[in-house]
Amino acid sequence: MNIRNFSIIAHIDHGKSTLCDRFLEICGLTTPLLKEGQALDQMSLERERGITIKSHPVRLVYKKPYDQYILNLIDTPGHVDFSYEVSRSLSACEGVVLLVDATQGVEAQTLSHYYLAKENNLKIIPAINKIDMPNARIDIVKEEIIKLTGIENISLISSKNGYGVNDLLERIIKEVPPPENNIEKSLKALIFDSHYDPYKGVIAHIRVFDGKVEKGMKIMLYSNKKVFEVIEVGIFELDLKEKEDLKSGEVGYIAALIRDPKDINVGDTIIDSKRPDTEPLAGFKILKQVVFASIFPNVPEGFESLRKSLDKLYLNDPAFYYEPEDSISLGPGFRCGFLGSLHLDIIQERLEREYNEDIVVTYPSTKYKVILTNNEEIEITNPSKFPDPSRILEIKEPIANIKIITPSEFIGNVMKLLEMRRARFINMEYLDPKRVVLEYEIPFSKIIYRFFDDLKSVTHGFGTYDYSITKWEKGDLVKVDILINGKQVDALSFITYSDEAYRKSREILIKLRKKIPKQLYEVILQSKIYGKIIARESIAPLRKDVLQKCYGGDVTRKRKLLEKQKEGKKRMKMIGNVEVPQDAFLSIIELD
Amino acid sequence: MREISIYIHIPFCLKKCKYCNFYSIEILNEKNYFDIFIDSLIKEIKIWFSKLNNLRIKSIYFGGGTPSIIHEKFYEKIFNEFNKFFDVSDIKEITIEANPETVEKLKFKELKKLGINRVSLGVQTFNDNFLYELGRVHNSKKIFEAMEILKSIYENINIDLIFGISGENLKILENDLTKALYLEPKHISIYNLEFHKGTKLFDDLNIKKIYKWSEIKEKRGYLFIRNKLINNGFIHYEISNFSKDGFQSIHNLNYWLGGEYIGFGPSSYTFFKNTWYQNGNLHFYINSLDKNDLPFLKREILSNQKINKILFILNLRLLSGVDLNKYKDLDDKFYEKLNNLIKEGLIIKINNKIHLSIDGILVSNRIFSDLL
Repeated sequence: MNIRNFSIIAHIDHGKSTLCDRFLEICGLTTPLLKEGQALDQMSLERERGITIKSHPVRLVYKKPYDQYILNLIDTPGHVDFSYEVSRSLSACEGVVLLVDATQGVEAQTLSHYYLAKENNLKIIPAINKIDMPNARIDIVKEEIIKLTGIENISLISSKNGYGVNDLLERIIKEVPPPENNIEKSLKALIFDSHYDPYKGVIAHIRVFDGKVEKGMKIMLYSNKKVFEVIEVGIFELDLKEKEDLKSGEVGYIAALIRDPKDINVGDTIIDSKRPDTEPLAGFKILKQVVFASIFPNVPEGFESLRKSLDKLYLNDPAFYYEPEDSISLGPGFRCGFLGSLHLDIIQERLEREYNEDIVVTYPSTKYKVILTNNEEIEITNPSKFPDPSRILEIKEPIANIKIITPSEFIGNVMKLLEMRRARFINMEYLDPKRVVLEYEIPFSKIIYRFFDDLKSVTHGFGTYDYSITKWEKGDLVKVDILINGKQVDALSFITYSDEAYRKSREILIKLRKKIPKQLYEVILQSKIYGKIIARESIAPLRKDVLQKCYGGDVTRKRKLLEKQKEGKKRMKMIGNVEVPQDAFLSIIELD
Repeated sequence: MREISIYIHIPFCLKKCKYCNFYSIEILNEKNYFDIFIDSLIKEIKIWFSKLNNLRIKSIYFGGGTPSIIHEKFYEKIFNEFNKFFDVSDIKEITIEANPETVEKLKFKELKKLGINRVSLGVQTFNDNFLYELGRVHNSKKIFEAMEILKSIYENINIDLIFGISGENLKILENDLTKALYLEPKHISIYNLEFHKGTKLFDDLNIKKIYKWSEIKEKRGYLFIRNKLINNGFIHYEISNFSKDGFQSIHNLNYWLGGEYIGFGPSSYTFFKNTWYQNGNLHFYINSLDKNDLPFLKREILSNQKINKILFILNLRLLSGVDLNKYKDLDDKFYEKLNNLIKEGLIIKINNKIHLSIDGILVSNRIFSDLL
């Protein structure tokens, strides 16, 4: 069969999107307009960040004098938070190009993606990109790749000027095995991604392993047993292109008027509804959100608009979850779950930029497992929903295995950074004489906020990391509440280690003191653990404001001014009788 | 019969003071506008009053700018026009604002003859350095000379003072008050220096050339002024205003009690039949009246509820307090806020009257924005 299903795996910025563009060009798919940017990165945010968030497949036709090949290039997202999506995309392929930047070398995501490809038994073709750059270190990077993969045949390319790209394509055709042809079996197709179309509903991106799928067929989604009738089948060119059917080995899409994105789960298997006993493909799991934060409209009137925006956003990113939340301090909003902190950043930015939402995002937290005295285990994703301490037997927190690659001169810095974040050393290995892989175990809560920035700053921008959550461990954790004039502020509650509680709550109180303007009366700020006050600050009342004069002409001018102040006040939240500016609720975010 | 007050804005000054955010023009450039301005003003008066009847005029107030800068012959024209519509001699209070450098005996005698019976003198401070710093044209000597002239003609004189000047302390403030009291005015308005955006003083503050008094110092300064004036027989009747018994400003009381007023002249404001009007600047003003149009730049009709709140807040400025029976249209939220302020001791309720406490006066601006 003249089909090759493959993917390119690389660390961020190693030139994957440019290489995709070259492949497209060779196969005559790019238009000059698209040449500007990178054809497969759809979202503006992706372009700006230079990373691909959503995988997006494309079907290429590679013509040789006597032959032609169909190449399904399945693009993968390139960031830590999306490793499950990467792994599903990879399982739709038979081979990968492992792309490494000649100026950077093997990085954390190169490692993790390589291991994912190996787990999936894929043919791996290593390639070094950007070999034309003046600071390319081809030999060293070659050594690194050989050490990692044991493969000595490494393609040297420059996707920018096209050098070696044709040969690489030839190599893919020669080395990546064609898909098995199981057309006689009953339908089995893998969902590796989806997007939403307002007319056709959810469009599932699929790889057919067994049998075929065609228009009018009734299919079943294995995980939820829901049955839908296929209304359209097709393949990916730069747009969707309708086709008769998709057969064993092919990659394409189906539409079946599926209205709820929740029904389509990445990794799920599509089967024929007449053959419900078909065995599913291995490796499916429901995506688990690990980072949680609340999103509130800046003014209460913004709630409905925010809901609509989240609904829309969700259609194209069912990996995040949201449900309405009514906060005592911040009013109506949503509690949201994300795959990681980058995922949170992306959702936040898309809400702000694409949907023009004016929002407040609270401090991100992870999920905790609380074992109650009756041995019941509950999951807590919102500190304010923590059970009463008298009912808690123990609290377990997620622990991540983290791998960091850094130039060896920064080992000390990185170790210090990790140890400050309560990480435990596991292993250290030299990739090459100048670069090291450090492996640690770290409480996941310690890497969801600002870890990336801190790592970059202690390694002068060279450090990279990847992680996976491996286990749950009992932790000496407490919930800290913040009170303003005796009223508990739910949005400021947080969970921390008991030996950090005092320092952290003091810092928050001091921040709050600076951010809350003087009121007409004294304001008392307190932090509390299990009913015990552990820190206190106060804001003296306003003693004197400007004594403004007010005569005929002043009436209108003053009123305008007072009304303006009032507009500003709308952005304040009332906690009891205290006006608290929105940004005070973010005080907690500025902590380590 | 409808009772109204009249305000006339004379938007000319010799030199603009550094703290001033009122509409005024330095006359060096604009002197030629005097005649045409007065013609426009006469026309404006004509248009307004030929539409209205059955009016009683409570007061007239010439403000500025520096109203004393223009020649008395112009006032004669204005008064002649007024007398076509009502008898100026029936009006209890007619005030003109003056700056010391413009006070001349003959001029003010003429003005008295026309019917002006109250002068408000812009003294600000007796400290020559500060006068210079504030961009005032006069010095302290001029103040004494001006007062001597005015007192020989007028009984009812107000002096305006400012406190809170960078470099000033309580000792200097006391000196100002002593000198002011020595001049025996019947009325003293004393203002906390404000730094308005767009003024030179605001810029000076931003580049830290000058500084602002601290909260505590301002509080002490204000209480010091209040005690000193009360001890000298003055009645504290509005946040910034003190007077001898019987000399409260009729014109300004009209503002605070929610009375109607018509403003004439560029950039002046009118409150009439639940509507606020604002006139345009000098050019707009002259052009509109040239076409026989009233020179309104803006017109705002507000809901009764809103007007009630505004009038309530204005009324609260008076130490005599607000009669709750007069304000019936206020919502529950408003009363809840009032009750909170009463609990905090910032507002005092006696029978059905609401007053600012002294602590309340000190944070009155915040209270007003709370209540609005």
